[in-house]
Amino acid sequence: MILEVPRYDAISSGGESDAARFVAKQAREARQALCETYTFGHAYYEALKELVSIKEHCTFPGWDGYDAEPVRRKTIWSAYRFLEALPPGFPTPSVGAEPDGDITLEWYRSPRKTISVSVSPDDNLHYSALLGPNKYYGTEAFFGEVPASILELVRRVQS
Amino acid sequence: MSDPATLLADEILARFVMFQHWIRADGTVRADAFVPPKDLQLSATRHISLSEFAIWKIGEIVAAARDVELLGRADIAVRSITSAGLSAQPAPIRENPNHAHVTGWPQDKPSQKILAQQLAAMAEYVSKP
Repeated sequence: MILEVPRYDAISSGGESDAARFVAKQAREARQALCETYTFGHAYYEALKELVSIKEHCTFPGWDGYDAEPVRRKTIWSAYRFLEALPPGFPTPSVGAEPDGDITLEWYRSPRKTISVSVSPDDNLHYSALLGPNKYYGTEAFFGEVPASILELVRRVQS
Repeated sequence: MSDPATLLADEILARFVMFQHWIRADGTVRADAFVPPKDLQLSATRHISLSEFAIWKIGEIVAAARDVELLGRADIAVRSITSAGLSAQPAPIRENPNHAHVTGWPQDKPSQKILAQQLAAMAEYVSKP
C-alpha cells in the first residue's frame, strides 16, 4: 500500500543546525524503513498528516472560533520531534491543538481511559490522564526522548 | 430571554465546536475543547429559554465572526462543571445574551488539562444538523 507521506520540510522548524538536520534525516530514514509496513506506518503517517493540518488551520489567532492563540512553528516542530521519538511500533496518538497554542497528542480508549500530552513551544510536556477514577497529571521536560512516565501512562491507557 | 443572575445546577451549557480536530471518530469531544484560554474564562452558551434552532443560530453567529465553520456543540450540565470544582457565571454580551463563562481554573497547565478531561468525559457532543 502506498501512503501519502507529509513532506519533512512541511513541518521542519527552519531554525535547526546542520547537525540537527542530519540527525533528523537519519532518524527519519530509519523510521521510513519501518513505516513501509502498513501495520507500523499507517497510524504514524496519519499523525503526521494531522500535524500538517494543524499547521494549515491553527497558525492564526482565533482559529478555534474564540480567542485561541496561534500555534507557533516551534511548537509544531517540537510535536514532530516527539512523534519521531516514540519507540518503533508504539501506539500513535491523534493530534490536536489547544486554545493556548499548544499541540496535543492523545491516546484514547474511552472518555475515562485517555491520556493527553500538550507540547508547548518551550519544550515542556504537560500531560493529564484519566484511568477510571484515577487522575494523573504533571509536566515533564522534552529533551528529545519521550519521558518514561508518559510512555507508562500510554501503556496503561492502551491495556 | 435568559434571566437569572446565577446559573442553576440543572442548566445546560453549550460549548460550540468549530475545529475538526476536537471531535473524535466515535463522536465524543476531546478535552482540547474545554482547555481554557489565557484569560481563564471559557466561553459557553446557556440553553435556557432557547430553542434548538436559536442555539444553533448563536453558534453560526459565533463562527461567522471568526470566518470558521460551526461543526457542533458540546453540551454539559452546570452540575457537572461544579462537581469538577469549577464554576459558571452568566456573561451576557450584545450578540449573545446567553453567553456564560466557566471560571475557577487553576493557573498551571496540567491542572487545567485534567479538569478539561473531566468536563469532556461528562459532555455530550451534538453534531450540527
